[in-house]
Amino acid sequence: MGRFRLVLALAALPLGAGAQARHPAPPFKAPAFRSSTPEPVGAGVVVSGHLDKAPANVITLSYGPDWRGTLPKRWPPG
Amino acid sequence: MAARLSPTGDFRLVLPQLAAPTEARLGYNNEYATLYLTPGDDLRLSFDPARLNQTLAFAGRGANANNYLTQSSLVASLDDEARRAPDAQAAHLSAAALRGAADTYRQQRLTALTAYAARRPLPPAFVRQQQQAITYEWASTLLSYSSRQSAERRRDGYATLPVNYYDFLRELQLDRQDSALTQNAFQSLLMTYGFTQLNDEAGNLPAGPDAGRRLYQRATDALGDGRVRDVAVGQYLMGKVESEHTDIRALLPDFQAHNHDSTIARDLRRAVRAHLALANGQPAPDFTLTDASGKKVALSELRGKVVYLDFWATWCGPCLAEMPASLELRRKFAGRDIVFLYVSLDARAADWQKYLTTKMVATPNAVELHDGGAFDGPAARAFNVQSIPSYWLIGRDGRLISNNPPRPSTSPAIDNALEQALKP
Repeated sequence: MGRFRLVLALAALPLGAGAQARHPAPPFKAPAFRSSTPEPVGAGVVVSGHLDKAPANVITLSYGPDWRGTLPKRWPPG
Repeated sequence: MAARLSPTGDFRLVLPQLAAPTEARLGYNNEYATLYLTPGDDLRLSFDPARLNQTLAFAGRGANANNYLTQSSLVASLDDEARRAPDAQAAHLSAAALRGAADTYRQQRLTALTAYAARRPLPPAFVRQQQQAITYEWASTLLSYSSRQSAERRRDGYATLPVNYYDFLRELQLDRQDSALTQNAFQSLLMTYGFTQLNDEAGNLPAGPDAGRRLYQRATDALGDGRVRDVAVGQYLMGKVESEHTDIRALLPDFQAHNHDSTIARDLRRAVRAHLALANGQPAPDFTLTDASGKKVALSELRGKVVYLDFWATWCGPCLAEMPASLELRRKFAGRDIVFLYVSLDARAADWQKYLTTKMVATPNAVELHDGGAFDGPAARAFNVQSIPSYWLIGRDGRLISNNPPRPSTSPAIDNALEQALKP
């Protein structure tokens, strides 16, 4: 557990600060995921969530449909 | 845009600026859901990763509109399955009865929307957009009536249209609906319009020396000469190329002369190029997929046999409607030098496997494969499959005999096509 925390702490340090790693690792708290993404401004939109036991690790969002729309097509239509 | 899940399973998609409310498509693990985004929305989603559409729920700003979308989409699926939707009944109704059923269904949906809005406030722009969408879907049902009738019903006069049947099109004022072009329901309506109104009498691409001029004249008369017409003709020609593998090159000069939209022109040029690569006589592209036992099978391994390739999915009604005829065909051609190769585009292998074990009859001349990437998977991409069902006939030499062979239910046309392919 101690080694795991140290690795995490090293990863969190700025580049070139490796020497400090010999000191006892400071209490480490993983940054919240959302803090890495800029907040929306004004007319922005946020779509967020949480998945357990996710079979895939990418989620996509397409908007502003082009001339063919954003939905899968059926032929014949109707 | 795409976001990667954090190690703890969180995701966050941020649109920094949105000029106006818009439909959007959320995609996860080859499943998709429609969203409605309004500037300032802060939507928190929850769903079972294995069942996006059945379990999607929203909280936060914008939640009401999106929960309505999820709910109405689920109701529409259940209505289709239970044959309550007029589309599902159309094949057996007279034109007048279909009109009545479509009017009633439209009113039920409008009432349900109003009732939902009374319980949970919805943005007025969203309500207007949904009212329009319900009307566009109603119009699509009415437009596609004829194409849902069997040849027998048409011959026997059961599907004769009243003289004023298409009057509803005038009421819709399609030529003035430019602002609706961002809506999927309107795009679907235009696609249906092209498929039902721009074909010639026999249901084919207009042919002959002035086919392009006639096509545009007809489209311009009904849709004006603006973007609605350009999108309708573009959708129509694209469907002809991608789904019917029809050579549209003779119509391109007229298309170039009339169409204002360079994006449509570019996409059509690409589609024509892809079509030429899959023209009859070209080598069939190869792909490798797994069967139900997990064994890898490549199309090229079947070289030396005729292959009747069928792209389908368990959620595709027209595909499933062909399955009894397809089984009959397999039985007719048992012991012959032909393989019936089924490629399922189900996003979830479990749906495919369940169908195989409960509904599909196994025969020695059938090979069942699964392309979990759906329309973006290796097989669908190789064959440029944009819609299903999609059938292909491949010769013993691995070359395409037909990129649009008769469907299984078209006996004797399909029998003759297979017999011809089996000739040494």
